[in-house]
Amino acid sequence: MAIVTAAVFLGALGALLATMLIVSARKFYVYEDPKISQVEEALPGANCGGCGFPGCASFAKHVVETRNADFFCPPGGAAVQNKIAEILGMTAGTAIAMTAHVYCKGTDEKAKSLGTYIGIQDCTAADLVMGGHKVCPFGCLGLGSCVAACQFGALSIVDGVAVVDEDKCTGCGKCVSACPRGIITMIPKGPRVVVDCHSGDKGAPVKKYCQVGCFTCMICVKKCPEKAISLVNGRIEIDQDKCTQCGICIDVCPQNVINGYLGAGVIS
Amino acid sequence: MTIYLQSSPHIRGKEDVRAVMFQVVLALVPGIIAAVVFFGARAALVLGVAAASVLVFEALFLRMAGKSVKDFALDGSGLITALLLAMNLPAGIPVYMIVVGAFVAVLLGKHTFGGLGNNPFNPALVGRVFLLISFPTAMTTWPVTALADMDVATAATPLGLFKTDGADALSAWLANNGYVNLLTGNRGGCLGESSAIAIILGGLFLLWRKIITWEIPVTFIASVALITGIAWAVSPDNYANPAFHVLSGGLMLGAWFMATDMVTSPVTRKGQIIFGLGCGVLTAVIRLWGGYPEGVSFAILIMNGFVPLIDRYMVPKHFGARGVTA
Amino acid sequence: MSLLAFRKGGIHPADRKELSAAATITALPAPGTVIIPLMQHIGAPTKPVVKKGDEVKVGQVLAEPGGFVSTVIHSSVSGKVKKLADVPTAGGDRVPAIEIVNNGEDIWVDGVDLDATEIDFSAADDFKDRIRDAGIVGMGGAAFPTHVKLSPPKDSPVDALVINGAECEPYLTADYRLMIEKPREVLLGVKAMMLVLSVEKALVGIEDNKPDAYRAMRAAATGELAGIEIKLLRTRYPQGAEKQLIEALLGRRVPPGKLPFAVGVIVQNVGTCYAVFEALAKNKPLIERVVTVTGRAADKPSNFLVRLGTPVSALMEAAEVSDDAVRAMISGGPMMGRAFRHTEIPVVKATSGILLMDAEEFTARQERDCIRCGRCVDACPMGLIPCDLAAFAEFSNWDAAAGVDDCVECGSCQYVCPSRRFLVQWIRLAKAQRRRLKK
Repeated sequence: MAIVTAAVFLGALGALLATMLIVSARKFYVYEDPKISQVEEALPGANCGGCGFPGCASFAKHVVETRNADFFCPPGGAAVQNKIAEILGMTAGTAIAMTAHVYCKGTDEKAKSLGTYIGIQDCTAADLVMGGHKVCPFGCLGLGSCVAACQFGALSIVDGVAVVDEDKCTGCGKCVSACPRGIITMIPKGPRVVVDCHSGDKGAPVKKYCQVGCFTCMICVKKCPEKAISLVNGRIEIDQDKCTQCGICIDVCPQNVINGYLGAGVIS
Repeated sequence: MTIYLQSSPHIRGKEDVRAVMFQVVLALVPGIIAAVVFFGARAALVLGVAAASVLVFEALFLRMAGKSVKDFALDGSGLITALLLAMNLPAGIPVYMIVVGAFVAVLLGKHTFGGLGNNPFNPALVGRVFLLISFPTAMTTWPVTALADMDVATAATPLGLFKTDGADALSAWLANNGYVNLLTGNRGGCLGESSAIAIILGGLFLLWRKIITWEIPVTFIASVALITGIAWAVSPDNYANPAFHVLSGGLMLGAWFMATDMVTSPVTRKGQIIFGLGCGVLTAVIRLWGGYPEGVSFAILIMNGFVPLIDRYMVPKHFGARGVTA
Repeated sequence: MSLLAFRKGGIHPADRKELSAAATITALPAPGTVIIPLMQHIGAPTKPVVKKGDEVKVGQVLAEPGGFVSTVIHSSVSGKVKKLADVPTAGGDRVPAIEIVNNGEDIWVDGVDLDATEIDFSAADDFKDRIRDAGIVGMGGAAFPTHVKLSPPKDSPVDALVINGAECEPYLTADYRLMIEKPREVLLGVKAMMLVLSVEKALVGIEDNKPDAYRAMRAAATGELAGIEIKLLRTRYPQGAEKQLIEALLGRRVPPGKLPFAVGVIVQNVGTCYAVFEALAKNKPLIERVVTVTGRAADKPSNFLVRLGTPVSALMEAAEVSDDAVRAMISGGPMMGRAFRHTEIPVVKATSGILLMDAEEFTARQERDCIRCGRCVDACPMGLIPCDLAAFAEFSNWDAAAGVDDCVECGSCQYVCPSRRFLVQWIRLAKAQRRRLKK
């Protein structure tokens, strides 16, 4: 008899709970466009924020709700963009793959340091609190805040300077905000010629504190056959649209500040 | 010529982590000597095996975590865990159990949390309680002390005597030089819980060197005395007197060495008082009305769990917040 | 007589003052070139009124105040203005400065009487303006413009003037020597400020590791200066921090976030008092100050009377600093001073000492994890929990780190930490990030 009572009681309990679940599922149901979860599945799922949204779910929701296939997921790249366009039944937008670029080549050997830094191993802590330990107030401190910020392992410190591995970089942009000196910017991947220095100083002091610092001699500006190089806000910049990668500026630069990059971040 | 650049201040006090830890080891020396005197060479073996195992496991886990073995394994904290674990074991415990206990203490008690400073629970107690639950018989078999009657090989601890055989058996034991034995250590128990005097000496040394603060030991012992005192006053036939409770079991070792472990106790003085009171209350409750004869280990571990909460709310007032003339 | 002291926290490092305590104040000859920064104080930067090529005399105005909380900058030598350029400071940032080539003649501006020994107290109404015109700022290191400090808000009446003779930083002996050698002049400056503030009560606090300074000041507090009380304080760092000083001398506690005038007190350093004396008695603007050069890397630790703008290298040479032995160079004391590297940085109004530490005095160590020992909590004189504040900073939880607003960066916490954590650096990081977020 006991077993019958137990069976009846548990059966009734189970039925009651099931009813409660079914009722709540119906009553509190929220309609969600099924495409949202389809898009979300197509995404890499890193939640890195590189798209500008707080996480992959949010990105998927936004893309589907605005029916806009132009929103770009940097880690997913072109492959994911095509997939999203396919799910939405639209043609994919063309987005440019971006990579982080560190505008400093001042290694321990080339850039003078003020002393051996003893303190928190973080660039922001060193810069904000003590002005950093390099003579150059604009250069890379090499303590690794950008390395710590990168979820994809694309940054590393080599000889006291941050270096980007373009193959691993997904363009999410976290390193840009991590750098207290603001010397990391996102630029389009691909062949390019860059002036690797953001020093705001001019002339002799720069040569004194860094062997690869730009002291604004303007020789490259004069020698460029396409007039692609100019002084913008106190810094020498090369307009990549005009640049033909002829390499003349690289040869004439007295401080070897200008470098050429083939697609994968290799210096030519 | 290296010139250093640092944010102020540019001078430091002399005591570093190693200095602090080794002073604690020094404070344990009287207790260790008492343990060897009363329990003989076996005690020394237990201590030695514990120390060696902890060292090996620490080096192993530090390697796995990618940390410098040289800097961390020899900073003294592992040695303290080993000695305190050993002091919480009976002298007759099989060697393999010591190794297991050391493994659990170092892994679960310390390195899974990130190493020294990050563990919420006292590692030695984690190891000890693990052994107590896994090997209850071995952990509650007490060899007699070297100075006791040689007719028996093992005997119960005084607390155990009280729990199993009642107040009369305890009174009989106490009448036979009981209090002197409690103080000096001539009674059954773990290595470290025998000699109250040796432990107190070590504890006073730590107070003098400002390694520990008075708040935890004093409130811990006082609250045990208070609660057991009230119980005894209400019903002397059912409960032992407070003096006995204070001197017996692992209370002295717990109050002076285990509860005061800096990593697992609160950071502020107010918080330490709450912590000490909590440990004392729980110890008394477990001893008087719980199933185990001894409550110190569990009490401390439970209070360790509350420490982040205590630290969050027991915050000192900022200078001048209480008013212009305090 | 029991010693007055602040109640909570603090540390007692070896004071190492024996290195330079016996060195009488010696005037260092003015250098060939001086570099005078236009920003040597807290407040608005000054505006230069001279240009390249101008001839200037000693005590001539080089720059005028840039706002209410600002000061006047004077030339410390006579000669020609070479250029106006940016120079690095001890803190690492660059400030605009005026470089003057010394013509060696030491010609002063008119109206200065370098031999005067008395202040005419009947002209007290002009004192505040003359203090402002003399460019006097807090000489203890904070460099807050003195005439502004002597103008508390109308709704905060002040009844006491507290003088900081504690000099609690280890190594430094500039204020100590000043009190031994010029006690009367210091007290005359105190009396002048009492008149400016219209207070009857003035207390000078001196730590008990300076008994002869205490005796000298007591002996000088006679006649018209007898109303100034000279008090002995227990030696403990940071006794010279103004909130702790006020608590020790008057038993009043400044509430968090407020300034001393909130409890009716104004605090001034003894060096500032001496500068006030010189301004009011001699009409002499602030163009030189006493700087202690010390540390085991200096073979001849000294207390120099230095013209402002003198490069630190000149002081290091005069103190016979052995370059090979130096491991750290600090402007100020070891607890709150700033490490520097360029020896061309100039002595400014706030430079109380230059400390050259050797390998025995300065040991480089990296930090470990916090072991929750609680020593920092016991050491903090402001009642904070430094280990938690540092943890919030480490995990970028800037909101939770609100307690940093009450931190005076005295360094007691970092001094006692066995894990060698950079507690003050973490706290400073939190302060800087919180300031950024507020903007």
